[in-house]
Amino acid sequence: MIYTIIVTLVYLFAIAYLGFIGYRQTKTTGDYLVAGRQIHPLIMALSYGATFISTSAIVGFGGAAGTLGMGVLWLTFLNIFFGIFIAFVIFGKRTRKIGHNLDAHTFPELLSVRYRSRFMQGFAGIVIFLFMPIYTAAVIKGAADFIQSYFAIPFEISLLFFVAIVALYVWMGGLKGVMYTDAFQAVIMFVGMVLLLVFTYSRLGGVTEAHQQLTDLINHEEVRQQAAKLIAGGFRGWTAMPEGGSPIWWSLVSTIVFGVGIGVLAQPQLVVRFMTVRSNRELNRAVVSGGIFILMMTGVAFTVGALSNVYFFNSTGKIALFAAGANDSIIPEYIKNYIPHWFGTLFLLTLLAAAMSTLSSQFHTMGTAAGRDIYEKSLGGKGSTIIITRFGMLTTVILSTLLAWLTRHLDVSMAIIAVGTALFFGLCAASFLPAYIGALYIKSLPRAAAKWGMISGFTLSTFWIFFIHEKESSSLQICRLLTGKTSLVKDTSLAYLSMIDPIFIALPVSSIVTFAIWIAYRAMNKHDLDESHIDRCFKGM
Amino acid sequence: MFDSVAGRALRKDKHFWINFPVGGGKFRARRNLMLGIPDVWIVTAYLSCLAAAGLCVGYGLKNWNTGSENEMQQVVEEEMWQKSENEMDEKM
Repeated sequence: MIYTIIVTLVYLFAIAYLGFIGYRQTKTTGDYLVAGRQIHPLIMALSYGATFISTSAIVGFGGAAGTLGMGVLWLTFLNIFFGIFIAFVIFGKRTRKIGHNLDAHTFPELLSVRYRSRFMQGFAGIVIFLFMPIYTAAVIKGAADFIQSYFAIPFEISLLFFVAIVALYVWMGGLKGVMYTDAFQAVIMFVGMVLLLVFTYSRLGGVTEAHQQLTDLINHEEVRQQAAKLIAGGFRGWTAMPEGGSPIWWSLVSTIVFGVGIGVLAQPQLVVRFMTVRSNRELNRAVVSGGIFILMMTGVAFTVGALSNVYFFNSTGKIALFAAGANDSIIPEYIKNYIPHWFGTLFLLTLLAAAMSTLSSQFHTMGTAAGRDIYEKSLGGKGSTIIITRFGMLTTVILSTLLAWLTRHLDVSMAIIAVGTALFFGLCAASFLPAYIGALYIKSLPRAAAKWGMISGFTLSTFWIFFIHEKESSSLQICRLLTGKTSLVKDTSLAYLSMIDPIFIALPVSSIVTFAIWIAYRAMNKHDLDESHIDRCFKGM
Repeated sequence: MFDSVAGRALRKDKHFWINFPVGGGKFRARRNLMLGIPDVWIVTAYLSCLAAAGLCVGYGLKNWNTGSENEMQQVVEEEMWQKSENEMDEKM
């Protein structure tokens, strides 16, 4: 225990030192918001990766893989292909260039200056300010769950201790401090996950042997009895996709794989990172480290999460979900019980790093949404951006911590972390993606199309979350309070809709709305943005 | 791949293509397709992850030195903005 405490303190000291360097180098609003646009490509890629990958990915989605199996690896593929390759090459370069041309400092500001709409900046800022705390709470819960399990301390203490440390260094450092610490944390995460993969595979006799044992698990009678509820829902083993069209298939494919896999493209805290480098060369270079990093983070977490079933079954006779007690406890319990103690300490740092790097960016993004996007730009408020942002940040820290504490009252068998994350990713995709793609690639897209696409995506998405998609609506309780049912379509001929994730409905609708208004404007030869502004946006492209 | 009865039953399944890989029965004895995994969808996911990472590495290395053509011009612009921003901050 002494060893763990010393190593943790050294780590926190290093973080504090990097945060302090960032603080010293933060002199202007540009430094605070986009790190002066002069960040090294390796730091940018590692920061992007570390922000992208949180305890939510490792503990939450790793736990989901422990329950649902290796089908979750499709999310890793989308994370790398869309989250890195498409995001950097197709989206990142134009985001950086247009962000530079228009001197945009945040994602909502990019949309606002591109479409000349203060409404869009305020609207996007409000969406971030109100809904990102759900994702943030999921990340906090992932870290607090691990600290609680590892140190055997009450959840409330681990929660407050953890949030206090993160909030302090984000408060001080701005985006420079955040990105320096992110990069350091990414290195720790990388080493931790490589070792985790090697341990897990080697102790099961190698890659093929380990997978074979996992495949054979479902043939044990006691495993089928324990997994009876899952099997009834379409589960077919940890090395097979669930039965097509079954509730578990929909949950895996629509919520976990597509919700997060596509949603990453319109994540405000990730988009802003493209604006921190000075040329496309930095983005080209960042693709290399980004691709490898994400593979080693989510790929390892999901593979190990699934394989943990073999360890749990061999030693306790139970599958991971039952042995650990809850979906979100699978990875913490696996580390605690089956991995050498010294590695447990390293993994603790890995998880702290993963959580802190994501949280710092989330707090920074929520703070800038409140300070820059809503108060200063949309409402025309006066005062120091940095101070207002810091107070916005403080509000969201309190809100997110409260939400993380409230998750203790939710059903533990539910993948709370994964669902909370997917909810925000899906909401962002439905609300922002059509307008964002239009901003980068469609010169003639009118402001009205982008605006109504955003409004329709957000409205339908939130309606679906609160009233249709049972996984979320049943936890949020509003539908039950108003109608007495956990979903409006429950016990009707449309009951199957309750399995479909909001992104599957809201993103196509917001895309159609955007496209239809664009076509209508073209047919009427109508424009709401003048040509000189468009030329300025696309200068040099 | 399937025996005729199971094959016909499976092809009648409206989710035939997404159920295709592991055969007709839910838990029939599985053949190891590759790496100890019987389901082609999972094998594909596993290999696609490696391929996507390889794509990132290949693309990044191929374009390692491209994309910085207008860097100096941008740096000058950034400096000008920074200067005017500093002046505004001082005024405030």
